[in-house]
Amino acid sequence: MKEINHLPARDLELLSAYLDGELSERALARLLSRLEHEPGLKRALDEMKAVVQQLGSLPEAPLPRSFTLTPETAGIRSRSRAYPVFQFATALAAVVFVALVGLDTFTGQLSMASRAAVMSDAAEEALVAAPQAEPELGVSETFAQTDDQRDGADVLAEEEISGILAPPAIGAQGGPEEALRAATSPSPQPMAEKAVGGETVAGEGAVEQPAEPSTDEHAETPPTESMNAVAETQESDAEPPGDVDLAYAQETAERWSPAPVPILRVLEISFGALVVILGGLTLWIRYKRT
Amino acid sequence: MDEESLIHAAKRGDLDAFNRLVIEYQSRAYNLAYRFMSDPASAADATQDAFISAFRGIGKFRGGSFRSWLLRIVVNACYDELRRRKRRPASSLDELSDDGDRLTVETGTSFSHESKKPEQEVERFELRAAIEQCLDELPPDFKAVAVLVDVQGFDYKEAARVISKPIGTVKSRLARARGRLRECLNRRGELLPSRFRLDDETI
Repeated sequence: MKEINHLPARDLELLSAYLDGELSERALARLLSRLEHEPGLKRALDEMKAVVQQLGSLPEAPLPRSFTLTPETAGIRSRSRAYPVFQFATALAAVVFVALVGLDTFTGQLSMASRAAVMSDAAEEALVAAPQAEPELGVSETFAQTDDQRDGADVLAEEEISGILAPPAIGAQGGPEEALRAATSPSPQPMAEKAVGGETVAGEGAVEQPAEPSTDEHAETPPTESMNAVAETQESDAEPPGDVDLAYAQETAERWSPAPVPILRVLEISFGALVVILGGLTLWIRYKRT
Repeated sequence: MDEESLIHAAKRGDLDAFNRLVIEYQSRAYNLAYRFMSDPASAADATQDAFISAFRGIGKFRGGSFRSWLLRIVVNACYDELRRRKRRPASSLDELSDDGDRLTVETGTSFSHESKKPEQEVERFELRAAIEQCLDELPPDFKAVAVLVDVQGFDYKEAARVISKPIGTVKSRLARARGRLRECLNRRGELLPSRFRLDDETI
């Protein structure tokens, strides 16, 4: 049996091809001739034939389980790849969110400080002006009476005066009328038009005769300012003097609210929601992966 | 739905269609892996990996024999699994000893269903165990061809497609595999069939 174990590779290929019927006619005839004269080769052929038969008769192994795919097994690797991406995105969104909250807090404090400063000024001015409210009304009425007699053709001059007085005079000394003017100063043109529409003040006449009201009631106030202030006071004479500081505070607060705050709020909410959503997704992916 | 329609549906991402293909081929795929790996757990892992890879790569299937394409993925998965096992030699030894126990039990169950004489059954069992042992000792390249042609019954052409080699390589590897198996069984001479040994004595 030992000589069979050392069969040349070429003979092995011949025998193997013979068993599978892969030999050409010529090669087959030559092999059959050899098999008749070489018992060792014949025995090797029989043994190889037995090996092939045994391999073919090996039983089929039963399936340990079904190999059908679930959506999870089919996509498990993509989730694994998605996990670090979502993890990073969540961290990034959280950092941006914290930065936005910090920025909002900082700008909020600035805004509060500004409001507090302006409101304290307004309250102070209101307190100072309150006792003077009554006499000023009297002055306005006087002015109205005098102005009624005047020609209303001084509209251009009136607009010019109002335009000059457009910048806010915060901190300027004066009564509640000045405070009102300061509060409404971002839109000076409508105020000037109101004054003109009311025909309560005749600019030219007032400029020409500034001494009468200003010397009586507001000695240190420049004449033009005094005229404008009086006109505005007349317009708001329906309101009691005590409400002036409240309206002023509200308008000042609106005026001093920094513009970026609403945008910051929106961004804060958006990024907060993003952090929650991304965090939830990341945890879900992690759970599914494990 | 025929196989071609299922393949087209699977290419569109239809998992149910692909699973019908899995059901059709899972037994053959697992048995190829099982004979290649000689270990049910590793064979199951390789088979599952192969089906997952096949689902993800089915868009690359350009027609021809789907069975050959699928079994090529199974063979590649088996090579990958063998490489993983080489990196874990200690656990592989444990698995091999477990396999021996499992083989005895599995073969014992089929043994009880046979109605032949006990001596013949013992002989058959020993011969099968020897064949499986010798098959497992073959180099992977030889083993793949022997399993495809002699165990699974593929012709040279399809075996060549599965291992992505020329037919000449298949012929050569198959002859060497058969020669080594014959030598391996000869070393266990008593395990050859008594009929064969009887013939041998008469020669």
